[in-house]
Amino acid sequence: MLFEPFPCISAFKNRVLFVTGPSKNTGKTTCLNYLAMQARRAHLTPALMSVGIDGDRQLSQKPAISMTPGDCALSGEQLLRMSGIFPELLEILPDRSAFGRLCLARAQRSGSVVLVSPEGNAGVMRAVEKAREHADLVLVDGAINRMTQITSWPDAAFLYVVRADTSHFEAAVHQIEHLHLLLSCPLIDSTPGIACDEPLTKARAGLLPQNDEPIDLLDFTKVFLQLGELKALLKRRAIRVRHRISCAGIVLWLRGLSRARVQQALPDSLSVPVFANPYEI
Amino acid sequence: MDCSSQAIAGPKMDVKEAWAFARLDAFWQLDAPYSAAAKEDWDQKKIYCDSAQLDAIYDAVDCLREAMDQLEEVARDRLIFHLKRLPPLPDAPSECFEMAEILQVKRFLYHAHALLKLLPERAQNFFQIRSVGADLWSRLALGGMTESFYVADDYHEELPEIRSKIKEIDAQIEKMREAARAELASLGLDLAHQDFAVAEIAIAQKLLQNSRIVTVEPFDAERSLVRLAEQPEGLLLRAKRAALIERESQLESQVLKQLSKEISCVLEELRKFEQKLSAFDCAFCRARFAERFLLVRPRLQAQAPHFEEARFYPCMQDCQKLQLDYKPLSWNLDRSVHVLFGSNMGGKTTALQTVIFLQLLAQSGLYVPARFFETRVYRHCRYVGALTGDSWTGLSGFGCEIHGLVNAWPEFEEGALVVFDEFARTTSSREAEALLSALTEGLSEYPRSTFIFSTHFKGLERNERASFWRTEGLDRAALDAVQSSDLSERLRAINRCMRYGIVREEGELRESDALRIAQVLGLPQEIVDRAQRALTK
Repeated sequence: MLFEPFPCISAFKNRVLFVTGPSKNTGKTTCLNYLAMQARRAHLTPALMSVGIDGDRQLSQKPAISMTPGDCALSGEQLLRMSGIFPELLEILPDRSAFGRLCLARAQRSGSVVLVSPEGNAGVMRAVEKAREHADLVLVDGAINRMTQITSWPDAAFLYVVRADTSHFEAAVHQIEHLHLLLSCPLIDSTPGIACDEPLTKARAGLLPQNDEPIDLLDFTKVFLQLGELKALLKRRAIRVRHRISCAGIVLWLRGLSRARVQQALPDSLSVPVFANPYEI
Repeated sequence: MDCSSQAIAGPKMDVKEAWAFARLDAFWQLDAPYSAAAKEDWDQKKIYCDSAQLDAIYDAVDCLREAMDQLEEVARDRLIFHLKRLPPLPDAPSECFEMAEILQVKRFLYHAHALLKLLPERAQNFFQIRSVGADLWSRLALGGMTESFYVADDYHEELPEIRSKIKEIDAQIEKMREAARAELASLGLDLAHQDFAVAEIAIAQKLLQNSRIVTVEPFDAERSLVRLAEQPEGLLLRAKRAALIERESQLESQVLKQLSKEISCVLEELRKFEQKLSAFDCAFCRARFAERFLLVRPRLQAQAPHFEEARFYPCMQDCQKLQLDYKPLSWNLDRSVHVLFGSNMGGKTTALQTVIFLQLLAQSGLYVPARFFETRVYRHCRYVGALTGDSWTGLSGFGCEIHGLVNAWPEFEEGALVVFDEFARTTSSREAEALLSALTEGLSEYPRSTFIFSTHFKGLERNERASFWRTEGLDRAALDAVQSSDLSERLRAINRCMRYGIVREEGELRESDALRIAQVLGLPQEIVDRAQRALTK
């Protein structure tokens, strides 16, 4: 496994790119800002959205996204008006937030906007569809468990942002290994399997018939098992998925760690590229 | 049903059960209008009880079938495109609409005007759709004749100046940043396309020594985070910008208030316009139903339902799935009270469902799947049977039926279509027959209503005021040839050998074919033989 150069943004033209990660504060928003800047540099209009469970997060804690004229963003009407970006409202979504109706707006001036998430899976679908009508690529700052909709767009992909520093090195390696195992789940074929429509938790796994038949899930986001639990389960039986979610790569923010050390610790068979912090010079 | 011709309600408790019994949702949901307002209207599943109003709806469908046929495909597609994007209008006037609501109004006008250009003149005349809100449109389109909205400079004399100042400040800030970036680039750090960099400590130190335009923060043991520092002039400019933006926001609020006032003034007129477009959209949907499913216009008159070759669509679908033949049904319900006998699996319930299906479709303004359908408009439509009152507690199946019947009784005077699917089947046959005899006689006192009973209780008294029918039943000789162990094959055999037509009950009454059907469906022969012996005793 080698650190690869950050992907060229043009590769994501007309696509939906989720920027996701294993937890909060992994650098998703920083990565999103970087991608947006690269899009502008390539003369592509980005639409910026956020999806996820942010109910536990105060708005003041949510980082604002920089916008330049032409960029699109999804947010509450009041936040858009307060942002100073001189918004041109393009689309209105049925969702309401504490900051007014959720709107897709085009910036007519530079500024910063706090993004507001649409509600539920249907809301995400609607919002992304609308954003695609107005932008060259849709960048979504998203929680991993809200990525199920990604399979609705054939070219959609996700970037997995992981922060690794000396105190959390092992945890970061585990997070990558966890993703690696999930991405390696084969597709459901004609051989028998046990369909599981519910999220696969440890308790749910215990309730399934205890044999070696594979467990069939919609996609890997339905797996809610810790790495150890997942490994133990995979020793006994396979997990298969109806839809594969395309991973564009892992973005690894290293702090106090050398690339060589990280490289040694990661699985050799890692099937997705790993990108270093694009801000590093 | 709510019968005022002004406000017609959707399926209330009484129609709800009949609606479910006739499995109408399966058909209803096969198409829908395109616009938000019409969709809302459609979802209410309104039932009309005024024949003049229904005829007007049917006329609209006829008009559109002809008018839309003349429309070229491209124009039709464009018309659908605009209908789909027609947003709902605000419910009530407001002193200050949200900007999003103002956009909705602008969009409504944008698409409504585009629709008008495409709508055939005949349809425009029929629905009395005339252009409205031209003045409001010209105001809302100050920022451009597009589907988007922003508070354009032209809305307030002060806005252009303020925005020009903001633009100037932005240019100055950008110029300063450009200069700073160029200086940084000369020192070896390119921040043209990123807002910070993670650089080795030595590089960061060098930058810090040679330039005051950067700030450096520790990152880790070997690297620092470098970003452009805010310059004193920049801070001043940002403060000025913030003040200007605050003023801009105040002015924008004034503009939104003014536009709200203008919208509120014409909102009632716009909503009437919206209602007409919604009526058009619903009629267009009905016309598509008529075309797609080869439906015919119901003839409304004073008589009870009479239909030829009616197709009960949900049953047709079931038959298709099971690879069974579906046979259209004809029936002339010429009196008030009807009793339908017939074989098990002989189509009695389907016959009742067909009547309700056609009647509710007709009274919801849709054409019906039949070669011919004539009926009166009923004020109530009821189903009394196994599904009745499934939410009631403390009542047995029979109790629920009686309760449902008693509840519906006051409606009989006003005119109701009521079907009883195997009424009283859970009580003793002797008492059930007595009860049915009394009911068939008693209900004939309500000539404005139509009552249809399906039953196996052949001992009920025949009276002259009721009509007695039977389904044609099983062709036993043909069924005797069936020798298959496969259930679906046996079902197909029953279907092939069953005659589903409805004929008057005359002469000797046929048995219900229960034993033969049970035998074909796999009941042990020994049991069937015993039952046969018991029957002939």
